[in-house]
Amino acid sequence: MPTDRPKVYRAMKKDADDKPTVAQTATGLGVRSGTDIITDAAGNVVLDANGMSVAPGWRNLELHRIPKRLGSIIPGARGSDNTHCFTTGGGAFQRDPFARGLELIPDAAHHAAVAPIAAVPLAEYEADLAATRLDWVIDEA
Amino acid sequence: MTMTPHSHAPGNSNYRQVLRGYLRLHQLTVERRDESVEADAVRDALDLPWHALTVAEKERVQGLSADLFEISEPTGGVAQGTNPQAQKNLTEALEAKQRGEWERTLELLRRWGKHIAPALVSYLRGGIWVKAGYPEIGVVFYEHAAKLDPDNANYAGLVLNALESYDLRRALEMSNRILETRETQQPSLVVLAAGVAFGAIREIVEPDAIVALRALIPILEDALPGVLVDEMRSVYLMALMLLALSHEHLGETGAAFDYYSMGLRIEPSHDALLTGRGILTYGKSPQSPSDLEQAVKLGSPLVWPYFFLAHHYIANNRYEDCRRMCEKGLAMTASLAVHSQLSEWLAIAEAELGFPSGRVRAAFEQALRLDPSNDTARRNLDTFERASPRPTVPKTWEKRSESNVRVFGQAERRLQLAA
Repeated sequence: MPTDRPKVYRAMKKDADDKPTVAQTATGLGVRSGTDIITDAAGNVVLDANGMSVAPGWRNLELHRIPKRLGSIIPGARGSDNTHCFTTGGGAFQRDPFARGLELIPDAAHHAAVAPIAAVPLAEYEADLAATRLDWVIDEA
Repeated sequence: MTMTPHSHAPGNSNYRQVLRGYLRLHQLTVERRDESVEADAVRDALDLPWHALTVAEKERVQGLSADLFEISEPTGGVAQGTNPQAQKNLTEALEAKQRGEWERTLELLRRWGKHIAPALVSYLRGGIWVKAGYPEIGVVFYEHAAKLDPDNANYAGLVLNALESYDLRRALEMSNRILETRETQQPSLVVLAAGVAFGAIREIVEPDAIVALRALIPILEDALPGVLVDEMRSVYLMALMLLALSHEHLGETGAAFDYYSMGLRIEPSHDALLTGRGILTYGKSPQSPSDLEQAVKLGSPLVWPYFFLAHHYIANNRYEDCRRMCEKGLAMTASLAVHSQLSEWLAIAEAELGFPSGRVRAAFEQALRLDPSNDTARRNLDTFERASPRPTVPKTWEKRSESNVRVFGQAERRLQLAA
């Protein structure tokens, strides 16, 4: 797992290899066009500091994203048990390069977006996110 | 963290949206559908409003979510043994609830609630959410209390009351179930169910309404002896009120009078009963104005005692009393027709008291704006305009008769539960 990028968490579904599922959903490694990001007339992602949502710790995820099985640690957790708390990186939770073509843009102490560095086509942004797949590991400790 | 009622108050749409979303997730969990496509859609819709919440709001949502999880577990309704420390903290919880410190109460219940009956914990939680303006959440806890303690009709009654405040369809369904099985239900619950049914009769057209009221009367009469006055005074009085209103609507004035009077013998300061009897006998009995005056002294939240007294005073040329009563009535919730009538009487009273013409005219015009079909107000405005060059000349106002006002008031108020 790369340690030079900011350490972030995201609740995602996993594939058989225990790596996150690449999908354009709220629980996939990807973004929902029109919800998480918007594109311009040319199909490029608009650089408005939005992107794939992440948090600095799994306990900071939205309560409805923390899997229910973790309710003994976080009472009231309402997330799907089909999701897992994945993490990647080891650096500070601050605006920094994240991976090829991506950067982390915090908008609150406990929330940030993994956004494209440049106004690239949506497919390229999605490919950049998907390229980080093997860097993610499950961490629910 | 000590929270006042305001910290829970509805109004923040993101907070309300998140609470509703979590309530929906709870329902899906109970139905074992919390891994469904629908549950995922609910979660997706929660992301945006969640991020708009304050830290305190998020904590409250988390507390609610945890409490909801607790009641979706089959606990068996058994409390753990108590101890002095638990007792002390539960007493503090009840005191905090009395003070309106709902967040504190919920926190204490979360920590110490396991030492008292789970039904009681749910009852307390339900009450807090209802008072905070979220009856849809309160109902879930009340239903849990009723499920754990089905012999306690109070819990089922609270479910009914809370449902009635936001989901009349479900309240009616529950009411019908109770009334259909009334032989096996506690009489107090039957009365509460009859109250919901009575409210629904407003929506029914006249011949069917009469049939429905005729059916309701024996149900209430049968239930009444089973409601203990000393223990359930408010329910007993509600039954009497419903019986009085039902008979009144059916034109059975004598029976209605008897039920109002029966209630007033038990509770002489019951403003709704005083108002009901005052209206019923308006223009027929000298006791009527005194019943209505007593209701006003008690600070009745209903417009009716103010409305009828305003007419009583204007009919007896007591213009200053009429003016005061009109102003009070106009500050209360009422139909446009009632407010129009009060504005007209206010105009007449102010004209007689020598108020400036512009103010009198404005009151008449207001009466006509509120109800363009108020022809009496139109004619009285004409009278006023004709006399305005000579303001000292006595004017002959067109005043409605007592029986006319009684019929008008009864029609306006008809089938509205005045309790």
